[in-house]
Amino acid sequence: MEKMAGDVIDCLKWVKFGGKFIEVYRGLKEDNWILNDEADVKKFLSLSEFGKEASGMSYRARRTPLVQSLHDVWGIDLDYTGEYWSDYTVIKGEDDEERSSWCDKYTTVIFR
Amino acid sequence: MKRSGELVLPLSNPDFEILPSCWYNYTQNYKKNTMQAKRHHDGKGINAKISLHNAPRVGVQKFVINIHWSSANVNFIGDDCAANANTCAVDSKDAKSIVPGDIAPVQKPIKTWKQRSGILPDHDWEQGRTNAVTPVANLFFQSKTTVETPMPTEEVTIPLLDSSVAVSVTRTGQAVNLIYLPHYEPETVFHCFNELFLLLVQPSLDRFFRNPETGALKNNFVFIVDNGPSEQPSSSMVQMCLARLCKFLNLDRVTQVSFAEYNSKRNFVKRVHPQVNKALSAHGAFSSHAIHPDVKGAWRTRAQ
Repeated sequence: MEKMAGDVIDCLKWVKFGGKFIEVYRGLKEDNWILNDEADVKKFLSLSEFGKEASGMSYRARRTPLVQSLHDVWGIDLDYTGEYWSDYTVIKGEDDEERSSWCDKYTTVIFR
Repeated sequence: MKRSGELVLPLSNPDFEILPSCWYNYTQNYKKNTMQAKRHHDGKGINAKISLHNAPRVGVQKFVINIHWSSANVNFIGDDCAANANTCAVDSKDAKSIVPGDIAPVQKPIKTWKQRSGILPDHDWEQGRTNAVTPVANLFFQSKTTVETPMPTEEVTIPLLDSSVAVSVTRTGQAVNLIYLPHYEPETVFHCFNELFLLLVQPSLDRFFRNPETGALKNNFVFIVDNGPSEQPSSSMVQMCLARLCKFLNLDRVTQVSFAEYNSKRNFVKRVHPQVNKALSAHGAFSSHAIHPDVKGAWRTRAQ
């Protein structure tokens, strides 16, 4: 299948959009993902509001070659850790008096 | 036909191009002794010089009450980002339909002139993911604004001071396609989320993410998406990812916005798909059985 993906890439390299050639890359494979804790997020979201606050769950960026490049190019923290609950309070916008998010059916805006 | 083309061309803008096949389509597009010839009153000395062909049956089947609001919202965000291009990065993304292996990648509906029982649905082709490749299209969005009247010029000051001018806005930009094997790499929330990091480190896309004034990462990210399960803005999993992205990349604002149901065709990145389809259609079927020259694995050593 990799050969077919390569053939598709070769075919699409010559496509022009808006007067420029489009760029084609092989997508990211799962072992190179920086954040890979979908199951934990699911588990966290299934808890009750009290359970979420008490869970104390956290995540950290995985040390992959990609995160090293991100660090080199944009100065991203290599050992980034975050807490689910603090992300959740940003979405709920109950952190302080200022609104930290806007969520409706077609839009989600996160402010800082 | 020829005359109509010769009439139109001297009167139009210098960069307006029209193919002779297009003149034909819009004037006398029927064969003698056909149903279309009858509809055009062929042989009766009447020629309206217009096409009586039906418009393509690709209209919106369902009326969605939110469509105006959601489109206006996206357009406003687009204009706002175009006015603040130094701080805003806009990525319009969509998974283009799959490219199945061993059969024609772009299937054409046959006999479109025959009456059908309605509108052609968007997704009625082979959907198996086993022997397929999915290109995911990303369009790094730029707006080109041109004043049309009274004189064509590219110098536009926003906000517009004069209401008598007509302005045309072209949504264009750099298109990027990422190729996935959906059988092994299904499209999940974290899959879409992590692919942004891959784009962030591509040297050729650096200019879309770097603020030319400060040289740092732009602090305003906008994603225009479809309402697919892995990216719809109202999903709480997606919201968790956005909050995380905002902190991880130290951004000021992250926006994920979509169009109303059944209207994802308004997404700007969809303009890239026809070009891609053209190339895939010209190429023909891709073999899914060919073996990559660099492949390594146990079965290979056995075969040797």
